[in-house]
Amino acid sequence: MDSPRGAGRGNRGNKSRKDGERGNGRGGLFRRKKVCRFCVDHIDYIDYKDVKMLMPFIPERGKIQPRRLSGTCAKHQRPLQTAIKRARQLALVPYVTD
Amino acid sequence: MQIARQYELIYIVTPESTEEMVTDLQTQVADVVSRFEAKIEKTENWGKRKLAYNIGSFNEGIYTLNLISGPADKVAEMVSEIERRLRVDDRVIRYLVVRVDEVYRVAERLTSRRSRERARRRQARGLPPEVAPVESESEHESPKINEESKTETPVEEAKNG
Repeated sequence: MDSPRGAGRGNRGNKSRKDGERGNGRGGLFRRKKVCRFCVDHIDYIDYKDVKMLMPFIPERGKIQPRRLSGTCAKHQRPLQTAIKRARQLALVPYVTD
Repeated sequence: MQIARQYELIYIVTPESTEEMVTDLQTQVADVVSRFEAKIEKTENWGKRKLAYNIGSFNEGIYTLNLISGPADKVAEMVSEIERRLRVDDRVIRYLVVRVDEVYRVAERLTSRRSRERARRRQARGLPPEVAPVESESEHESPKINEESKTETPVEEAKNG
């Protein structure tokens, strides 16, 4: 749990990204390190039809949960975003809820 | 026929439409599809579902999902034709066409690569490759050679749980 940030994981997509370098992590705060659910569960395709999968990323208000809150990695947040938007068009998921 | 493209078509019909109306619409779609030398690979009827928000005066709708594949040069035309028809039809309250062949292919590639990786890693630890059958190339001995051949080192996924 308390391993140094991204010890073995940073070198996964060693394309030409400068990730793994971002953020000073948790400064002095006790914050659990968030992990991307799609990475952990090995979900390769985020299906817009799968409402159950999308629902955790749509809080009360109906907005798309930002990465900083959900912990989703950038690579997966992008398809997640399109998936939610498609699901919205099909009224599977709300645009807004008051 | 060249490489086929795959599309997903979902349309929502008004909740009060009868079974026949839905099948009638479906045959219309199938008609267009066959006219363009494409074929419907799968049809799913989700039945009546509650909508997440009201569309017009409706708060529920009947969903139908189709998976269509066809030749790349014709399929674009077919999609616009289907979309035109669904737009005109007032029983249809919403529709969506999404191209899926590429994303599916990418996902498949990732899955297969991962399972291969896992088999290789298990081999390196001296375990049988997997419960699921993997290709015979996993019969390779001496994992060190394997390790050198690949630059991307295995990532310990088991640890970050």
